[in-house]
Amino acid sequence: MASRRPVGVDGPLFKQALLGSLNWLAANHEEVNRLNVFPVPDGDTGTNMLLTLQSAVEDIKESNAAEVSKIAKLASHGSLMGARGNSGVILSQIFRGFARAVEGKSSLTPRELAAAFEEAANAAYRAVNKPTEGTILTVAREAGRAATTAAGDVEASVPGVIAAAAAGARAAVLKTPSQLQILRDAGVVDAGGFGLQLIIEGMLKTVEESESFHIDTAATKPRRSPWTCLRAGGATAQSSSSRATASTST
Amino acid sequence: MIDKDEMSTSGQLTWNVAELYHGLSMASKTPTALGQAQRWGRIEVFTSAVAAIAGHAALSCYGVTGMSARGLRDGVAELLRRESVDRGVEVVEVESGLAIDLYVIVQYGMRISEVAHNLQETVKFEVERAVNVPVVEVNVNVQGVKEERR
Repeated sequence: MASRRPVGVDGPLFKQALLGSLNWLAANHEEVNRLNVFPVPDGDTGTNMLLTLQSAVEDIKESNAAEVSKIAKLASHGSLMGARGNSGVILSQIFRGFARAVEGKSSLTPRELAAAFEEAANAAYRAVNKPTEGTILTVAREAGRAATTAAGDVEASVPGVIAAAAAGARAAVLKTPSQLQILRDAGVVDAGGFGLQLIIEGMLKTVEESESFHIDTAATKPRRSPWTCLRAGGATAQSSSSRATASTST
Repeated sequence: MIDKDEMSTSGQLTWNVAELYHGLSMASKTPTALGQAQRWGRIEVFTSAVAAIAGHAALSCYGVTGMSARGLRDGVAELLRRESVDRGVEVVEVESGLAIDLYVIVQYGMRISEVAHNLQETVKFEVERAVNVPVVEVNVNVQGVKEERR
C-alpha cells in the first residue's frame, strides 16, 4: 500500500483540531439552537455548547505544548470552568474523560485516539444516574464505538479514525428521533448530539487539511445537512425518519 | 377569590367554579391553582404529588447523583432512594404560584453552579408542564458532592 508516515495526534495537531471544532460549531450553532426541544425547549443548546467550547479553547490558544495530554488537560479545565447549560456540562465531562484517557501521553496512535473517544463517552455516562438515550450521550458513545472499530483495521490512520467517529456520530444523530419521543413529535434530531457531531466534524476538517496526513479520499464522503430534511417535514415520525435515512444514502 | 375554608393543612387549595371559568389564564391572577373545579367534580393536586414530579425531574438532570433528605443528619447528607425522592423536595404554595426547594447531591468534577442552574430550568419546566401552575422559585440546595463510580 501507499507508504504512510505513522503520524499520531500530538499537542499541536490536537490544538488545531479543537480550533477547527470551534470554527465549525460557531458556523452552525444557530442550527443547533433551532433543534433544541429537550430537556427544556429554550433554543440555547448551540450557544451553550459554543460558549463552553470557546472556554475550553481559550487557554489552548496560547499554549505551545507538544504533548497531547497537556492540551487535553487545558481543554478539560477550560470546559469545566466555562460549562454552560446541560449540553455544556456534558461536553465538559467528555473533555474530562478524554483528558484522563490521554494522561501522560505525548502523542496518540489511531488506536489510542479511539480508546480516548470511548473513554470520553464513558465519563459522560458515569455522571448521570438515569441516562436518556437519543441524546448527546448516545452520540458520544456511538462515535467512540465507530472509532474503535476503525482503529482495529491494520491500515488504521488518525484521519480514518476521526472520520469513522464523525460518521458514527452522524448516524447516531439521525437515529435520535427513533429513541426519543419528544424529538419524534417535534420532527427534529437531538440538538446536543448534533452539536457533538459538528465538533468531531470540525476536527476531521482540520486533520484532513493538515499536511502531515495523506488522505484517503474514499473515507471522506460528501456531507449533506441531516437536519434540514427532518425539520422540513416535521410532521410524522415515520416519514421524517425515513426521509432522514434517504438523505444519508445520497 | 380563594375559598379559605377549603384550605387544608396539607396545603392544597380548592377553586371556585365561577372563578375558574373567568380566569383561566395561568400567569395572571390565578395564584395557586393546584385545585381546580371542573364540571364533573374537583381536581386537586397535592403538593406531595408536585414534590414527586419535581424530584423525578431533578433526578433526570445531568450531574445530579440523587436527592438528599431535607436537613443534614449528624452533618451528613443522606442519599435518598428513588422511591422517596420527594423527601428531598419541599413545595410551598405562594401568592403567585409554587416555590420549590430541592435538596440534592451532585457528581464530583462538574461546575456545580451550572448543574444547579440546569436543575432550576428543568424542574420549573417539568412541573409547569405537569400541573400547569407557574413555578416562581426553584431553590437548589447542594448538600453533598459524590465521587464518581468507576
